[in-house]
Amino acid sequence: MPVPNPIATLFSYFPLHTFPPITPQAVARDASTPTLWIAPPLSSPTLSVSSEDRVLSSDVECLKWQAYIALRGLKNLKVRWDVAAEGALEGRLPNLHLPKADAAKLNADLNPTEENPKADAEETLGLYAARLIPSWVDLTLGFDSASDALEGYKDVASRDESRAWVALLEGVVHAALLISLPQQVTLAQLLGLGYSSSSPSPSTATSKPSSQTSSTLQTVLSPPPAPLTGFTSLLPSFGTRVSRTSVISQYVEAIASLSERLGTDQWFLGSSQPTPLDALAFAYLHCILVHAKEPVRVEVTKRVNLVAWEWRVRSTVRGAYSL
Amino acid sequence: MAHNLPASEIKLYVWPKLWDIPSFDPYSLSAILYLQLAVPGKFSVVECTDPDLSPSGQLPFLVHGQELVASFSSIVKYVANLAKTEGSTYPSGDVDEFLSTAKRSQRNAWLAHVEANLGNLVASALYATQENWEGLTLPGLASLFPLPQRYFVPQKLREAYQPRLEGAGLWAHPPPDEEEKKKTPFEKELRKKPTIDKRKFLLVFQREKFVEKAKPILDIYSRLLAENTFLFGDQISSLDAALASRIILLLNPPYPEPTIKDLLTTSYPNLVAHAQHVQEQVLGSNAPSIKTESHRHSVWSLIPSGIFSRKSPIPRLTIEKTDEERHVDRMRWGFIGLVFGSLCAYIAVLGAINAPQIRQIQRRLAEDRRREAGGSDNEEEDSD
Repeated sequence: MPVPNPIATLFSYFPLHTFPPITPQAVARDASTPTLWIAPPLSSPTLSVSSEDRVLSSDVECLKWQAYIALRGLKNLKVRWDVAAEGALEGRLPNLHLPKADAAKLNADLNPTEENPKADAEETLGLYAARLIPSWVDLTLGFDSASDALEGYKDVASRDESRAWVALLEGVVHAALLISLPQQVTLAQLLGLGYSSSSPSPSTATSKPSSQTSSTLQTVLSPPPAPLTGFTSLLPSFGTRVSRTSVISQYVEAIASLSERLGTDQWFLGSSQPTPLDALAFAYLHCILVHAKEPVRVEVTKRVNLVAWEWRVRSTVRGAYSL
Repeated sequence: MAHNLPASEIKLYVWPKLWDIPSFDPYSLSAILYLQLAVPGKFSVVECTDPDLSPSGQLPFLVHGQELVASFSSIVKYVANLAKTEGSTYPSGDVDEFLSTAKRSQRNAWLAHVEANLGNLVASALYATQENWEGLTLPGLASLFPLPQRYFVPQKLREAYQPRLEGAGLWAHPPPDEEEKKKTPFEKELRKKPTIDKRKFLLVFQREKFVEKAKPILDIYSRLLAENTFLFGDQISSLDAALASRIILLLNPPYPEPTIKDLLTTSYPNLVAHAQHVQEQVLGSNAPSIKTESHRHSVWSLIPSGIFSRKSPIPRLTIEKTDEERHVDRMRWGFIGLVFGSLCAYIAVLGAINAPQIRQIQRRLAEDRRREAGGSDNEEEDSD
C-alpha cells in the first residue's frame, strides 16, 4: 500500500540519514614480543617510583606473576597497563599476550589431540589468562615443571612447608597490606557508576573499608571479620569490622617469622633455585616497601635480610621487562 | 583512697558447647585446649553468644583484670608473656617454650595454614554443605540463642563464611528445585521416559569436589605428623591444640553428610589418633576440670554496640571511700538538697503572699467577661 501524499509530504520534512557502520578497532594488535598486561604501578606522593621500577605492577597478583616469569629465567618481555581488569580475560589481570607464532605453539601444546584447532576469539588474539603462564614458560624453556614432584624445593618437607608460608603471606600479611595502602575514592565509584580497579581501592575512612576491600578482607582473614553492625544486632549485615591492632600485631609476628626463616639463605627454605614461594614473597615485600604506609612498612625495613633480599630480587625482575 | 582491686582471674569468653564438644567454634576450642595446657585450673570459661562484646567482633577473647585480648594467636602470645611477668602464678604459661626460634617461626606459618585451609574444611562441613546446615548446624545454633536472635544470627554467621568458602571452591550451592512440569498433551509419554535425578548427580559431584579439595590438605598434615606423637616431636605445642581442635570438629559432630568424617577415619588414622590423644591429655578425666559459667544475655545486644557503648565485659573497679570522702559526699548532697528546698520554699512563699491579689485579679476578669456577655445579649434584643 503506498504512503498517502500528505503523510509523505510530512515525512519529507524529517529525512532519514543513514551513516556508514562503525567498525570497532582491534584492542589488542598483534604483539611482536610477549607482553604482560598488568595493573598500573601506583605513584604515591610520599614515595617516588623510579623510572626503572615503573615496569613493576602495584598489584600483588600481577607482580607475583612478573616475578615468577623473571625468576624462571625469561627476559625481554614487555608490559602494558592501559587495559582495565574488566577488559581482561576472566575479569582479572594479569593476562599474557603472545605473538602469533608463540600463540600457535602454545595452543598446540595445550590441545595436542586437535589436528586443526578451532580459531576462536581468544586464540586468534593470542591472549591468555594468568593460569596458563606456567605452561607457556615451560614451553619456552623446554622444561616440564609438572614432572618435578618437588616443584623446585629441596625435599617433600620443604614443599609442604612452602604451603604454610603461602598461607601466612596470603593471610595476615595480605590483610595488613590492604589496610595500610593509601585510600583513594572517585566520584564515579561513590555514585556506583565507575569501574573498580583490580587493586584495592577505596574509602577515605580507614575504619570503613570499601565494599571491594572489605570483600577481600573477608576472604583473606581467618576467621572472617564480623560485620560492622554486629552479628547479634537487628540491623542487616553491613561493612566489615576489622581490629587493626590485632591484624598489625599478627603481621609483626609474621614478618619476624619470615625474616627468621629466610636467614642468610639465597632463596626461601634453602632452595638452590628460585621457587614460586620466592615470587610470592617478593611480590608482597615489594608492595609493602614501596606502597604501604607506616607501621606496616617499618616492620619490613627493620629486617635487613628481607630488605636486602627484596632489593636483589627486584633487580632481577626489573631487568626482564621493558615498556 | 584505698583500692580493693578484684582478684585477677583469667576469663575466656567462647562460643558455647554443642554436640559434647566444649565449643563448636574451632578458634574457641583451640583457645580452651591451649589454656588447659598453659594455665590449668587458673582460668574459667564463659559461654557467650554475643561476639559483639569482643574488641574484634569475634570470639574467643580473654579478659584478665583490665586486659582484653582477642584472637587465638594474641591469646597465646599474652598467656606466654604471663609466664615471664608472673612466673610464680603461671609457671607453664608458655607451652611453646621448648621450641627454638626457627621452630617458632615455622609454627607461626603452620598455624596460618591450619586456620586458613583446615579451618575452611571445618567451615565447609558446618555451614556450606546444605544437608549439614539444615540438619545439624542450624538447629544447634538456634538452640543457643534467645529470641529473637535465633531467627537471624545463625544465618549471619553462615553468610560471614560464604565469600571465603566460595573463593576456596568449598561452597556447595544447593541443587535447583525440581522444575514444575508443564502439562502437555504428551504427558503420558513423558512419564514413560526415565527421568534423570539431577539433584543426586549434583550432590555426588559436590562430594567428590569436596574430597578432592580436602585430600591434599590432610595429606600435608599426615606427612607432618608422620609417626610422631605430636607435631614437634614428643612435646605438645599450641599447633597441636589448633590442629586437634579442627580434627575433633570434623570427627565428633553427628553430620548428616559424613563425607569428611569417613575420609578421616578411613584414610588418616594418624590424624584421628593425634586428635584423640590431645583431647584425652587436655580434657580427659586426669586433667583439671574447667570452671564454666554462662554470660547473661542482654536485650541491648540487639542494638549495634557502636551506637550505645554499654557492653563491656571488664568489671568496674569498686573503690572504698574514706571517712573524709563520705563526709564530703554528704555535704555535697546536702547542698544540692538545700538548693532545691530553697527554690521550692521560695515558690511556695511567693505564691502564698500573692495569693489574695491573684484571686482579686481572677474575680475582676470573671466580672468583665460577664459584663461583656450581658452587653452583647442586650444588643441582640435591641436589634430584634
